[in-house]
Amino acid sequence: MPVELAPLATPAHKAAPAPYNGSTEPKMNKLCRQLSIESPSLGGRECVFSFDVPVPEVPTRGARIRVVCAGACYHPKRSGSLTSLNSVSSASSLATDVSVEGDFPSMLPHHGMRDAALFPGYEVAGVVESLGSELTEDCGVKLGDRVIMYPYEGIPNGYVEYLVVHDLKYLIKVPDNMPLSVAAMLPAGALLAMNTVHAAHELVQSLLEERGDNSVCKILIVGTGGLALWALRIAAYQYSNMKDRVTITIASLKDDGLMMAQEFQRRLSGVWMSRNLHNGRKFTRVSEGLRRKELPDRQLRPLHLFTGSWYFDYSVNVVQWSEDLYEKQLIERTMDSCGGQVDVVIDFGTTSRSLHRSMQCLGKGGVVFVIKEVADRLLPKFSRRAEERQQKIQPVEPGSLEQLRELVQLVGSGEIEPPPHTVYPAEDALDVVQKLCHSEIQGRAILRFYPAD
Amino acid sequence: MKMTPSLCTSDLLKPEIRDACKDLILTDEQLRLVMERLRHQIDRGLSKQSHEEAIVRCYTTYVQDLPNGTEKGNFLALDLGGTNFRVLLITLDGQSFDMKSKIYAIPQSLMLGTGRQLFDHIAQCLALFVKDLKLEQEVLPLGFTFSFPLSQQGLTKGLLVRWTKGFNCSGVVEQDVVALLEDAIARRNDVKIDVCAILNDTTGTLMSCAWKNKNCRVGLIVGTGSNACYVEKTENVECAIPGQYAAHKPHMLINTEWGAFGEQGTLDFVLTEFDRDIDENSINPSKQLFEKMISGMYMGELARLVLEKLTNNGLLFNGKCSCDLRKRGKFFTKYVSEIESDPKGKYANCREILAELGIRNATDQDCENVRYVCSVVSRRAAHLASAGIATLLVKMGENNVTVGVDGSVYRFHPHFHDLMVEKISALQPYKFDLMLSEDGSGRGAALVAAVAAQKR
Repeated sequence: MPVELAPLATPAHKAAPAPYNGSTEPKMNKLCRQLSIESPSLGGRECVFSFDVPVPEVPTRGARIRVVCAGACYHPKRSGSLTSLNSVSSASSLATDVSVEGDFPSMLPHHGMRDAALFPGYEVAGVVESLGSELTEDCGVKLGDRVIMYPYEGIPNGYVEYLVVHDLKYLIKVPDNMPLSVAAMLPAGALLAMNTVHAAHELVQSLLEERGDNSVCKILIVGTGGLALWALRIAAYQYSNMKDRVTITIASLKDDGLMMAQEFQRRLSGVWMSRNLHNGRKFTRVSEGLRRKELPDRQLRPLHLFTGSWYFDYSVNVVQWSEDLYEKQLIERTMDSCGGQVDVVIDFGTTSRSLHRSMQCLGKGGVVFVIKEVADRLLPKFSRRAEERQQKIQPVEPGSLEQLRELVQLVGSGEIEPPPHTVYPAEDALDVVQKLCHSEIQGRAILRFYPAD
Repeated sequence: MKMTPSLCTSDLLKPEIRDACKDLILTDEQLRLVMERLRHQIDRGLSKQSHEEAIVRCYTTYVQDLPNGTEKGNFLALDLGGTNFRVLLITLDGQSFDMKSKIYAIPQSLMLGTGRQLFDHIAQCLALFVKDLKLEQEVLPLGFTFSFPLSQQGLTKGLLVRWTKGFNCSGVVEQDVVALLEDAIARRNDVKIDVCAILNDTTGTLMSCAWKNKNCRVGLIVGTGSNACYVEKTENVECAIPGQYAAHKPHMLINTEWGAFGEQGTLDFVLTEFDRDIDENSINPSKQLFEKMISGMYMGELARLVLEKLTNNGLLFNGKCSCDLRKRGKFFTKYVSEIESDPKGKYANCREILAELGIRNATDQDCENVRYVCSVVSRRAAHLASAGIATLLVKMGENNVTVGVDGSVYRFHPHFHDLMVEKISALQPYKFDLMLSEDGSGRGAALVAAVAAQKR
């Protein structure tokens, strides 16, 4: 009989502690807040924890960040905990373990989980509050710098208001024109999406070379959560010079995904061309004449998307994967929208059902890219099927530090437009997670720990 | 020959569950009474005198010609029957056939917006489709498949009686939907589309099947909704408006709109508590009762209600289940088909579906009982549809009639065809065949336009 654990009490902790003066060394044993979001496997189980932890000591060659914004992601499972609250983490882990009954792995029934609106990751953006004692003035980072942190192995189990980084190389300065709420989206969601698109790109390149001139490569992106929205933007950027040879279709897992894709097209066109936009229909190019215009070289692109004469012209098909339709109907409609089987699927869905659909839409020799966490769970069931169909299921890891630097530049320069996001107070994290589980938030949700940048 | 599956006799089936489901199992005696009452309503619908009070209205389609294989040219079809619609171009040359099509979504906001917005959206998609094919200079006959209750007053005039399937656009009920479409096309003034006919999906299903099989005289849909049409003698079609049809031609298709059967208490003797629950919580309470017992829009919910009751009574899942099984609309009709597709004694699909609903501790007995519930619900649907078809076959009184069938439940449920063949044979004496009609609501509409254009 499994032991039923009482949910951990959430302390009342509305008032944020007063921020420290950067020039004053904090007192020993001062406390700050840590917010942990565990994987919500069942709606009724507690998945958001908030408790006080000591303000961490500044590493001698590192820095301490006052966290301002954090992306709403859940904490990926890991074997060991580096925090000083091992008992709490162990209790959480035990709670997760006892919820699994029988011999089935945990499923993720929530719609938002199916759509990867909520996904594993660690995303923080903040301000440098202290520097390590052994750092010199030319270390490249100074007090007050706005930064994001690449999620390296040393990160804690939750979002802590004062976060230490042991090596300055993991800090990336945020451009002045980028809000911290946008910056907070980059280290996990955008980075994972970018790495997925990069992995797919290697395959796309080899397919196009192999097939010769005038051949076309078809990509299907599954999902309309934060990951898919980033992947769409990054892929459209990646293939902006190859639009006649690479087609992109979005399989929307909810109704307003169509509106999301329309919004995407509208912004990137700079002008609302309502006559040419249709739900579920391939979006038309702005005009025939403009299409022939020579696209400027990458380096010459203007910094701000809407101030230059350059425009971003990429057409995207949208097909809606309504859950109430039969699977064969969904496959038929997707094939119709894609013009046949696709070569690459980027599947940010998290269920067997969505992976099964992806494989049915994929041609022989095709590859479906899935989040590593999802691949770990589903590969045992699907590997034989993939082998029979001569297809490959490719897990995708979070991206590299270099990729994250590149992302910051591309988003800062306006070459990649971030998806819509909403900022919520960190105190509302539980409510935010529940909304994400039910796909009630469009785009990304960002938690804010302080009222102003 | 595929064996008709028998009711599960596994000892995993609990007697209490069989007992709880007994109201969902219909005897042949009950089905014959259904036939008797349906026949009565069909006769009332055909009669000019009683048409207005009839439950099964038997609308005149004004379609009097079936395709004969000589049709030629480019024809458009518009298939509006749910939250997606299709535009098709069909090129006919005798028995050869080519088709291009595109699917378009109708967002929830347009399903509940104004009729003008809806038809402007449709006209927009039509124009784009025609321009993509570079046919904007050609006059293209169009057949309009409109799968909602329609009072047809000519081959190109149809008034919407009421919205179904979740639609509720304003300004369309009692309006001529062909005129609304023509006006929307005219507002654009950029393509030359000639609306030659309006029909429902059952008519299209019959026409598409008839193009391949000259014996086809009945069209049946068991999908999101359910309806049937059949070939009636012109002399019996009392409600046809003089001047709008050719009296000398022997036949006319009748759109029964049999989904409405059951109103005014005509099916109370077979309604269960689950049917009443579905009806009371639908967007059209006390309407379309026969349809609510048969069609895919409701089948999953019907199964869910039974499963929820059994769980609450402690007969399934140890009396505990996730919030999803208690939520309306969470048990999709495709789950019924997928669960019944599991081989006997295997429960892979069942377990997968229960896991999606948050139930992860189902035993084999639970899975077997879930499958039993699904089979009882789908079998009843098949038997009621069979009673309807048997009624039409008896009325026509001909041997070797082919019934063209379409619809997601018929197409995707593993046993529906066999269940229907068996029950129709048991309920009436004439020889018949059930034939899957390929792309009835698309190709059939183009065929109606082709036949109509040829007669002009």
